[in-house]
Amino acid sequence: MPGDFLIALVDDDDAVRTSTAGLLRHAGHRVQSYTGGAEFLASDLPEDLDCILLDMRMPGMDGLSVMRALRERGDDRPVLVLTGHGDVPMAVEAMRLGALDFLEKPYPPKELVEAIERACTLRTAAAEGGPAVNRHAVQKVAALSERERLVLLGMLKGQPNKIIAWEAGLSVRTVETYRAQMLAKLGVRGTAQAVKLAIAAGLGEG
Amino acid sequence: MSSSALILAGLAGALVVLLAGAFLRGRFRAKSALVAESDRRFQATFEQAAVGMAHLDRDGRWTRINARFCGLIGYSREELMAMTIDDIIHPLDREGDRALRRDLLAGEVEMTAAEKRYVRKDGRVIWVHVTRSAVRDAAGRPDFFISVVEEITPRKEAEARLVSGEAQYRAIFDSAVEAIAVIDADGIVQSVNRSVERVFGYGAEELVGRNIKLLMPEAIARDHDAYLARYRRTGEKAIIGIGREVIGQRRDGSHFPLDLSVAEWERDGERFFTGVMRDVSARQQAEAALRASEDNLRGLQNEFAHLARVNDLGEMAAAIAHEINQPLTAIVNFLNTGLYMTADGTTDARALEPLMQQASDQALRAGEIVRRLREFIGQGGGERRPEAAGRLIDSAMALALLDARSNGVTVERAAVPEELLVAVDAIQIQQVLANLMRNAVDAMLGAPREGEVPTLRISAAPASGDRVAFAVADNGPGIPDEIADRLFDPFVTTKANGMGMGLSLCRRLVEAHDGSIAVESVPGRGASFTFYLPLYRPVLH
Repeated sequence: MPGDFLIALVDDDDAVRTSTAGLLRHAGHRVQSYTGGAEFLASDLPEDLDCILLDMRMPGMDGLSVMRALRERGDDRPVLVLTGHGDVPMAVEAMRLGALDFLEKPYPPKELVEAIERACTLRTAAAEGGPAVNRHAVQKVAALSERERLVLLGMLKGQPNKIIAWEAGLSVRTVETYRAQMLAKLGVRGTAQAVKLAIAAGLGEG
Repeated sequence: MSSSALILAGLAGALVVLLAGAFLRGRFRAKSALVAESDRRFQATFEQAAVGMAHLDRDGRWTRINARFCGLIGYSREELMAMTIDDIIHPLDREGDRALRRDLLAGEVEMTAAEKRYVRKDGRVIWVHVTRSAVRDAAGRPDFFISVVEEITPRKEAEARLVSGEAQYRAIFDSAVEAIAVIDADGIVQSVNRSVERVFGYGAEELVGRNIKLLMPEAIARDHDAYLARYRRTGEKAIIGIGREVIGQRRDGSHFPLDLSVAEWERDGERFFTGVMRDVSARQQAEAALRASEDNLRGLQNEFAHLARVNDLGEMAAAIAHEINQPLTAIVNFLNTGLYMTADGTTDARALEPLMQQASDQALRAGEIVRRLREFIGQGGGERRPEAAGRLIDSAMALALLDARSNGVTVERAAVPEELLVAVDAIQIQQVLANLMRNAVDAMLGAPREGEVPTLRISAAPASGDRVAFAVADNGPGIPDEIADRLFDPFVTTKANGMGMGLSLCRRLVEAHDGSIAVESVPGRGASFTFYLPLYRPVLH
């Protein structure tokens, strides 16, 4: 276990917050919990905070609002967002606002820990801000056909297959086929990973 | 002869002459007195007449004028004597008056009578009625004219008002958009306005004097005379003052709907009827179009409500899915923490216990959420009403098959008996049907077969046990054996992005209506979903 990190955990759901904090502590890290976005932003954040674990769907101030606020403040500490199942548009938007990674609930705890550790390590390694364009990701994406790339871009926008089909003048059936091909070529299992790869490749910027 | 006899004869003769002269003078004086008297009477008559009187000579100059004439014209006697008739006649009437005088002079007529205008001294124009007669001399030639002048200005003005008023009513009558016809008590047309021509195609001259039943279809025409007679007898108003829609017949024989209102009136003891008619075929067409579009609107509103409900359900499902993820995440976290602890070697049950307890609590929390979803589906808000099976199918088809045909799917909807009814919440059963149809279309389009046209067959028919069987069949890939048993269970799906809610929801809705659903399938050949609902029989009184 590579060192202990100080993680800020923002989640309104008591059970999720408690259990996640317990899990992370057991993994050897220190956790500072907050019950909501407002509370989090209003507090004096510790100097040595390594990363922020942010739930997206919260009453009052939701995750995206917190991200925007952080950006405005110029706070570039690594943020990992937790989204609900299938919440791709929200995840993509969060990544655009600077989130380093996202996880869909419920997630295997191992993945959470790995993601946190990755994020915190990256932070110490890369002094400049901005997601590093991953050469590996760029290669993978470059191997896509024009249609597959089109579907990937649509996914990045959070569009359902129907809309992608409509805008491209294709049938839904065709889009679904390209989607499957694209996922296979990228070597990813599902939407979340495809999206992460796309962003890592620098797609969907601007 | 002696001289004394001569003197005597002379004296006698002188006496006779004297006597005769005296006699004659007496008579002459008597006669003069008579003449004078007659003259005086004439003067009085002439002077004091209530009408204007004048003598005109052949050149149109006045030789005698009475006071009334002067009063009418506003000039004095002296002024008039210096003028001619043309000076006082209105310019527009001068030519006509000269013609009259010529005729009189020529002896063509004995008397003329005419209305004309005079211009008074003060410039005002008056209307007069002038009678002239010629007085002849001993040779029988016209010597001078006697004019009798009566002022008729008030009457003329009243006439003008009348004419103008009449012109106005005529204009109203003629310009009316509706066709208006006036008939007498026997049904004979007295007058028609211009719109009658436009509406019926007859010219006025073709209708006036003929029976109004010319404008009616044979079936109505033959009774019209009787109606009129009955009204004359009984006075019962069937249409008078009431108005009704009837059928009219045009000149070319075509029929059309008419809005007719009838009024009754009397003149000089005679009864007349006025019929105001409006061609309402355009209105009827518009009403039919309005009804059609209202039906359409209602249909769309139903669809919208349905979609909103389905959308609600989708959103509800998404919200619930998200909600369930929370306790699931917590459970996973708690249990994994416990696993880490045991992996570290911790066997202290007291350390593990709170984790397991919390995991259990979270599982119960998840259960609560699921229960809420079931409530939403089960109760659903709609009341149950008798609905025609055919209409349920049609509504669902309108919803589910919007793009089916354009995607090359043939849809065969079997004829459904109109009286086949089920007592249902229409929206829920439409959902079931739409779900099944959508599934069928998706399955067929997802696995197209060579040489076969994707065909969807939908039907509803009576089934044994007082039931109605709704069937949706396709010739798609069929149901794979491995999931056939669990097809109606929740979260079972063959679709990549499917939530697997469709068929389990269908079953739930069907069973909530005391029905059942089943599938028959031959893998590779197609699938047929049938659900049964209790037949509704209307209660007879």
